[in-house]
Amino acid sequence: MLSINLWEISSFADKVFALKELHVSDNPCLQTNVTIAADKDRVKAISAIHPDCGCEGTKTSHFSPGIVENKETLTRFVFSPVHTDRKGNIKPSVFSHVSTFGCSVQREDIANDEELISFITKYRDKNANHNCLGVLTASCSSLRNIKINNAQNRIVCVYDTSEEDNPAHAEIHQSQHVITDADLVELRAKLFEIFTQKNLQNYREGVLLNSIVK
Amino acid sequence: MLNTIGATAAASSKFLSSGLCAPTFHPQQEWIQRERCFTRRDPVTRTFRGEGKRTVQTEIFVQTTLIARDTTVQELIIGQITSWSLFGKNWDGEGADQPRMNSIRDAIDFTRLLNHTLLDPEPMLLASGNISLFWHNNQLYADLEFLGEKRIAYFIKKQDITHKNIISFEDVIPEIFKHLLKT
Repeated sequence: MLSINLWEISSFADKVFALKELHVSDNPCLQTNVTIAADKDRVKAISAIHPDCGCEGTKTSHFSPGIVENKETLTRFVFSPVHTDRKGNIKPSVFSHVSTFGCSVQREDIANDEELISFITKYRDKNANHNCLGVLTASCSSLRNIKINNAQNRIVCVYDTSEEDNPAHAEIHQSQHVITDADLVELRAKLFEIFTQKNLQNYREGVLLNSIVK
Repeated sequence: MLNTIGATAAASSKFLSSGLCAPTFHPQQEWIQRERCFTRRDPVTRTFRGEGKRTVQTEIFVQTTLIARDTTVQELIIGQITSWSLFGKNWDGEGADQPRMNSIRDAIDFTRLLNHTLLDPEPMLLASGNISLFWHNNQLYADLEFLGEKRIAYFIKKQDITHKNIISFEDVIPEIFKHLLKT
């Protein structure tokens, strides 16, 4: 696979142009995702190169167990205390990566308990001051049906972005139809409305909580 | 948060007038200091048992009472936002941007404009580094994101009616927020 160091390209337009030039493989979505895995313009670049959620029908990772189906349930793990209010409730800011790196979620049908425990443990190893504060769950179809501005355009894309040690990893991205900053604020509201908050005692019968505490 | 501290301090240099001193507010600490000052007594001649007469002067004390008060929600919000300015990149462990000072300044300026007629918000730090203020109850959802340059992107849903726009503010709360965010 061709490789490119996008960190050396400062202009967003130049990044998109360079990525389009790279699309010589059979799976351009996979190539885009792998190439810009750590780029701060990741969501915007993917939506510019593959508009209208153009990568939902193909694998975007070498470790993919398959595309994310509408019937799947997705879980967002909340770690940073910054995302909880004075009463411990989770705030909409937890979804703000939907416009930057992509909002990470776990696919309930794919993830087994051991993989989730490993995922949480690795996160905490890297971020000693953070604990898992709870989870948020939503159906994939409800996310893909989000609309704003009374238009019918797709606003949210859900991509399979499996990782080698976390095969159930997926991401929520805003589409190119989120245009203004106010659109993005509205999108946070929609996500906050759709996701249901659970504490770890009520998620998977508390098995993760018991394992993490041990 | 409540602080109560009492203290008695000996006056050292010049004598103080009688009665209550003016209260002193300490903005960096959460208490108000009120000093009760006593009149200096003139030197008097007293007879001490076995020592004869001696001229003595009474000690002068300043009774200092620190009257407790609650930290206001407004102060808590500003403190929380200010503390985020110390964060670096990747403060959430997921690659978030460093908090943006322009947004922090605007959010603090806006919070200072809030008064008792408006509901108390929760501050939010976003992955972009921007600050947002968030209100949520049974009838209200409001998210005001500070974009810098005194601009606010907002989405408000109150009693099933939505309001969304980008607006500028200066030294007063914009009228639309006074109406939608009132208690």
